[in-house]
Order: sequence, then C-alpha cells, then structure tokens
Amino acid sequence: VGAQRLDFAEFYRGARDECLRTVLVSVGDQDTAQELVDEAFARACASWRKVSRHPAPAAWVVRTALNVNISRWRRRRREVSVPDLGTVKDLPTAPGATDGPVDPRIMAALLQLPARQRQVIALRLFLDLDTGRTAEVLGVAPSMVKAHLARALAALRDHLVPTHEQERSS
Amino acid sequence: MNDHDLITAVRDSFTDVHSHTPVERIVTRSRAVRARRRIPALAAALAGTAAAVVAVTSLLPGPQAGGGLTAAHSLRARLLAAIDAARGDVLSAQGRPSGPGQHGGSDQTLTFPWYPRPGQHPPGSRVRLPRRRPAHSSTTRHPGHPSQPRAISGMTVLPAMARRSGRSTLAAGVRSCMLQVACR
Repeated sequence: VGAQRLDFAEFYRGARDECLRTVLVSVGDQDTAQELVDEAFARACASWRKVSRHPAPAAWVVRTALNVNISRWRRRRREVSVPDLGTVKDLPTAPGATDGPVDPRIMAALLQLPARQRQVIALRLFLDLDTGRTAEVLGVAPSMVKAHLARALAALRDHLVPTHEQERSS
Repeated sequence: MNDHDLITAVRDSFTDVHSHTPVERIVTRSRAVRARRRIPALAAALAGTAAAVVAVTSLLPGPQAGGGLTAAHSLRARLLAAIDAARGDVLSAQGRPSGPGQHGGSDQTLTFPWYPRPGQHPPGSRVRLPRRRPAHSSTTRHPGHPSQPRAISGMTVLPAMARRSGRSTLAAGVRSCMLQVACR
C-alpha cells in the first residue's frame, strides 16, 4: 500500500498541472476545473491499482473529470435551469476569460469553440496524446479527431491572428 | 502564423496555470470515495442477509404450523383411542372367563399390558378417553400413544388392524381366536 501511495504521489505531482490545464480549456472556469481535477485524482487514487495499468493515466483522469462535470451538470439541471454544457462562454462563472492567469484573448478564442473541438485541442496540446489515443478517450473515430483539430486551429487562427496578417502570410 | 506557432502560443499561455492541492488532501478525499463505493456493497449484503433470514423463517414451521400439527395429532389420537375402545369391547367380550365349550372361550384370563399404565401418556399429547364407556368393561382403559404398536403376548396389533377389528365383528372374532392360541 505504501509503494502504491508513493507511486500515486509521483504521478500526481507530474500530471496535475497538465490535467488542470486540459480540464480548464474544456470547462472554461479555473475553480471548477480545479474541483473537477481534484475529484478525478481522488477517484484515481481510490482505484490506483486499476488506473496505474491504464496506458494513459492522465487521460483517464481528464476523462473522469469531464464525466464528473457532466454528472454535476445533470444534477444541477434537475434543480435549476442551467445553460447547455457546451456553451461555457455564457456561463456566469467563467472568469477565466478575463481575470485568470491565461491570456484573455486566447481564452476567449478557446471558449468560442464548440465543446468537442475544445476537448480535442486540450488533449492534443496539453496531454500530448496522439490521434488514436485522443479518439479513444473521447469515444469518437480518429478521423473525427483530425477534423475537429483542423477546424479548431482554423477558428483559433481567425480569432487570434489579425486579418491583414493572414492576408500577408497567404 | 502556421499551426506550430499557433499551438505554441496557446500552450505557452497556460504555463502559469498550476494546481496547488497537496497530495495529502487528494489521498484523504480518496478515502471518502472508497467509503462512498462501499455503501452500495454494504446495502446489497444487508439486503441479501435480510432476504435469507425471511426465506428461512418462512420455510421453517412456525407457531401456527406447530399448532396445526398438534391439532392433527390430537385428532388422530382421538380416532385411534375410539378404535381401541371399540376393539376393547370385542376383546373383553371374547376374553371373558368361560369354560371350554362355552362360546369357544378359554379359562385363561387375557391381560392387556398396554392398559392402564401410569405415565404412558406422552407429554403434551391430548389423548382423551372416549365418553362412551363400553357396557361390559370393568376397567378403565388408557390407550398408549397411538403411534406405538401394541404388543399382545408376542403379537403386534397395528392401528390399521385395530381399525379393521373395530369395524368388523367377524374379524375381531378371528383375531380373538388367534390371541387365545397364542396364549396357550
């Protein structure tokens, strides 16, 4: 048990920042992302014997955090009227776009992407997952991952790069 | 700006995002997660135990079933006691001291070892004597437990035989002759 605890602590110290960034891109709120990541890491610690054998434990944590977010959204939807999970830019608790450690321009551009494209960007950029693993985590086809990534990068370029620079580069 | 520069810019913008939750808090929270997971298992185990207890309780005979058995036992005992009484009438009539040639009787006195024998009633049995006393009977008869076969001088009288002898006088006569032969 002690060896497992040390193993998990080492994994946690190495993957917590990447997992937090990935979940932050998906949910758009740093506090919510921190809460989700903590819950996901706690579940990973509770099932560390199984999670440690996973080919990508960090991806398992991110997937678990996103599932927890979906479960919370479903619970809250029964109590009060909440907006759709994908429209994080309309959430009132999305201060990450303005007063977080992330560049507000980039955060706003990311939050304007559809939820699936944000997840693809996060998994590919922050967890360095390949197309196959990303498709496995998201439960979609690899070709769909490639399509989402291409559309997301095109949308980000439209938001971040000024039009005259795009014309100059083209 | 190509794709590589764009990806680098997005990635660099998140370099200041760090998680500050200590691992001890995560481990403590994992214990709560484990406890939450145990609740359904414990509930399932409790439900299984309760179901097993209910099943065993319903299958085993309870007080009501025991009362029914006692009532059936009492009814059977009453019936057999009545049959014994009827058989006793016949035997006492056939075993009256009489000389040779008188109704084929015998000088020997027939003794009935199962009649009255103190303490022969099984505890809890509700065997009652029939109200109608035999006309020629001079002794009080206490039949034994009806489930026990009666032994009369080396002869076993089963309840079924007793029933037959009680019903048919002819059969009782034959049986009486057999008893006399045995006594000799």
